[in-house]
Amino acid sequence: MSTQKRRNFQIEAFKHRVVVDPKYAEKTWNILEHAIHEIYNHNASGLSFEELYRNAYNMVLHKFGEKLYSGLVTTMTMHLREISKSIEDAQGGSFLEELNRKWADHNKALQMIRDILMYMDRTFIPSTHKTPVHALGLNLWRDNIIHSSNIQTRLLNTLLDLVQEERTGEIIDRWLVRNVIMMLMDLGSAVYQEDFEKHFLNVSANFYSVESQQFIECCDCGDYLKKAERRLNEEMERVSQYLDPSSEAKITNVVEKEMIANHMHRLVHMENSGLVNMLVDDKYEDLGRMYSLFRRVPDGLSLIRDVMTSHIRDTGRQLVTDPEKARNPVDFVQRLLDEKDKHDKIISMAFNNDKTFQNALNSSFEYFINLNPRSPEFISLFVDEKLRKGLKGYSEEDVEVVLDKVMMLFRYLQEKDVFEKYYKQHLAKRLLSGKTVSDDAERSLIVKLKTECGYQFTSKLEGMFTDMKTSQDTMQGFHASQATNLGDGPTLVVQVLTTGSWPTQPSPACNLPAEILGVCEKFRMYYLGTHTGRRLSWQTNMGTADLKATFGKGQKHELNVSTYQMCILMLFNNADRLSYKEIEQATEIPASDLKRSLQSLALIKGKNVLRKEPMSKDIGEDDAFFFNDKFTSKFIKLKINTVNAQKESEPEKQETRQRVEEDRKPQVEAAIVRIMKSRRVLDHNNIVAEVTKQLQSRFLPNPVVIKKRIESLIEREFLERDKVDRKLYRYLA
Amino acid sequence: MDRSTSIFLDIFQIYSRFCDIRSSDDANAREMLVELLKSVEFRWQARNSVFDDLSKLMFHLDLMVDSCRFTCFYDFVFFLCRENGQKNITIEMALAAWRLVLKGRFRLLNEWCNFVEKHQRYNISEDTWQQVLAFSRCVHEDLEGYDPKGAWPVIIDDFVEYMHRIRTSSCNCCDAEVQTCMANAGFHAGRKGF
Repeated sequence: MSTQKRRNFQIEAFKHRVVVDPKYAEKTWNILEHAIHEIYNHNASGLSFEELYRNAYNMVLHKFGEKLYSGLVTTMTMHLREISKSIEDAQGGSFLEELNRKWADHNKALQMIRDILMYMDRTFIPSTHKTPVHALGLNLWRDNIIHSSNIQTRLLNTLLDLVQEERTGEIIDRWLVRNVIMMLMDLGSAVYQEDFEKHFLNVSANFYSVESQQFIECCDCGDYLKKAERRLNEEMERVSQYLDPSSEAKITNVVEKEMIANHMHRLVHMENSGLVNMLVDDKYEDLGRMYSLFRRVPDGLSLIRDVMTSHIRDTGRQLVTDPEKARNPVDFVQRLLDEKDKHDKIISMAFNNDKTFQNALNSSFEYFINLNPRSPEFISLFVDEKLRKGLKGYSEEDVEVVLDKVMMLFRYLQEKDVFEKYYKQHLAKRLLSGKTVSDDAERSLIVKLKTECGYQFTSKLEGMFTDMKTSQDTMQGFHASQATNLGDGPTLVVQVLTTGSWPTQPSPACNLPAEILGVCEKFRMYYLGTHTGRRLSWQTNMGTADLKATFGKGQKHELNVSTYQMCILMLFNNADRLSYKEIEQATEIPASDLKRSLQSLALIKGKNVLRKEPMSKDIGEDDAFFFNDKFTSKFIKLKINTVNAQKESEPEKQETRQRVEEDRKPQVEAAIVRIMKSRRVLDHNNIVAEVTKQLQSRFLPNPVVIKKRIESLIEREFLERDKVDRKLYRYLA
Repeated sequence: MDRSTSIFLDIFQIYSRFCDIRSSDDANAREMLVELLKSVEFRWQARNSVFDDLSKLMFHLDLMVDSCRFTCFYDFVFFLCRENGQKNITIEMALAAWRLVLKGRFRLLNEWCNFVEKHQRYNISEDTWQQVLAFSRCVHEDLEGYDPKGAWPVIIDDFVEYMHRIRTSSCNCCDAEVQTCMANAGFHAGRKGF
């Protein structure tokens, strides 16, 4: 078998004549057209789906798809025209109902027609890129009904009128509107947007623009916000009830813009009811409403925050600069704390604990607390008052709460070193007079200060506690060693204070009475015997004494006085009358202290164990003093306070300030040297910035002070200026 | 003989020695300067007579052209004004020296000297001395060219503030005049800052 002989077989198609009835297409279409009529006339029960389907199938099969399709379009259009007429004819309220009913009919019909023409839908339409039957039905409905000139505007106005009616409080048929809206959506979201939503939003904007104008003219801020909130909720409900969900953001946007954004400045600053009034009156609900509404618009929250900040700053500034309020330091600090509590509560109740609001509050406090240079002193006085007596009867937790609040104020202070200075003074007084309520509270506060500012800040304070403890032990040892030879002499309690840890100023010791001098000498011997190489000097300005005194009628009293007063009173053991000059000479107490001591001995009613001549309010240098025979009191024990200023007087204040400034110099210099040592070369502004950063946990260094320290360091050849760039400094190792 | 010549080095020789030491990169420059100062110390019994010599020196040096050379001379003046090897110079010396050497070089020389005379209490340090020259070079009559963040010594900051204060107080009373000037020409444009 050779390959060339291969034959190609051909299979011929079986040819048979297809007999086509020339009237076939016409006939079949007539059947289908009739069926469509019947469907639209609700008369479909007599139709055979099977037969109709086959007819349609055959038509497509016999390439009459085009005829079928165009026939469908024509027939359906005709029916829709009729429907359109009947809808147009509907009167008033029945318009929507008619539309809705016809829409339901059309949908049902469309369903059936699609089923019959399913074969066309599947084969003819995709191959000819025509619109599928269902979509075609919708498009025809859209073009013939919705966009018919007699219906389009009427439908829109009817819908908008219904919304308007509902807004003014009437009840409408939501179900009906919902169906119509859904129809628009079924026709495509573009139809919904173009034929309804766009207009709806415009009309709403107008409505709310007018309404908000009315509201704002006649309502106060709180009421307005309530109304705005209600409107907002209504619109959201409307969307969920009968509009498309995609509209929610758009319509709320309109309400927000018209009712809030356009009026927010006026609302916030509204006289007698604006934000400031709400803050003052603690209107948590209104404030919360304002917060949640304003949060929806751009810059809303920052507006609230700014107004709140400036309000807090203003009230704070008034609070700290009012000389009347600064008279009582404890009240002053309590007011600050109340102010803080108040706004903390507002932020947590109404402002959702918003971090940015908390920061604004903190920075405002930091701003105004430091406006008053005495704030550090007052805060320390507040602590002093609390630790002396204010905390009596408090539970441990309550004490912690108070101390934590104080620490919070402390954090706001820029001049923490000034606080330290005063705190030291006050603590010293508390410790030496044994006035502190609770050792635990004292130590707890020190621990807090330590965690806040570091070891350096509290080391001296802790040294003071150590001294107190050591002194107790020393006194036990002293009394034990003297048990035999003390006899009836006065009992001495000595507190040995390490120089440097305590805020003592060297003051000359006064002349002590002989009785006391003896025991003092014994103590000195004892102490130096156990601690060689130390020096003791007596701080007579800080001590106290208990005296027993017998008055004219033999009544006895125990007097608790200061060491100075004790020295004065002891003089009257040997004399009934002493002039001011005589007392001054005998005791050598510094004049100002002497005057204060005498004042409290002779001029305080109920405690006047001395009598002064002439009787006057002040102590003069020519006055004479007598032992007050006729003194009576219902108390056996009497405490005679020295008239001492709780708050610092003006010259004292300046002295403290000066000491603080002096103390700062080495700190600034040390910081500069530390920085330059690691950086070697640095320009002026960066040094200032770094020094400020390093020191701000203690105080805010003044740039001029830093500059002066730099100049001093240049002079002492720690630094030099760069030869070329004079703004650069070099570290000279 | 040898010794006496070294004592009686004239001002030109001292100056050239000073310049030599300064321009050499010798690590001992500092000590050499101290030596030099010691050796010329008792040349001017009355301190003020130093200025006669200085003006003589100034006359002979051609200082107008070269700012580097003037800086060297300027530092030399400070060097000679130091008494007993002290680091700083007194205000009187500084004022006299400034009036001599900065004449015609510092537009605010008079104002500056008056200010220092009235307000400065401490001696003038070398850094301040040098910075005054730098300041005189960059500042204009209307105080333009001064940068408050420019790391100037505090005394210069104070001076500028003082000048501003005087100017604003005197400006208030001659407002009308200033305005006519402005109308005439852009003459006072530089004053816009006030």
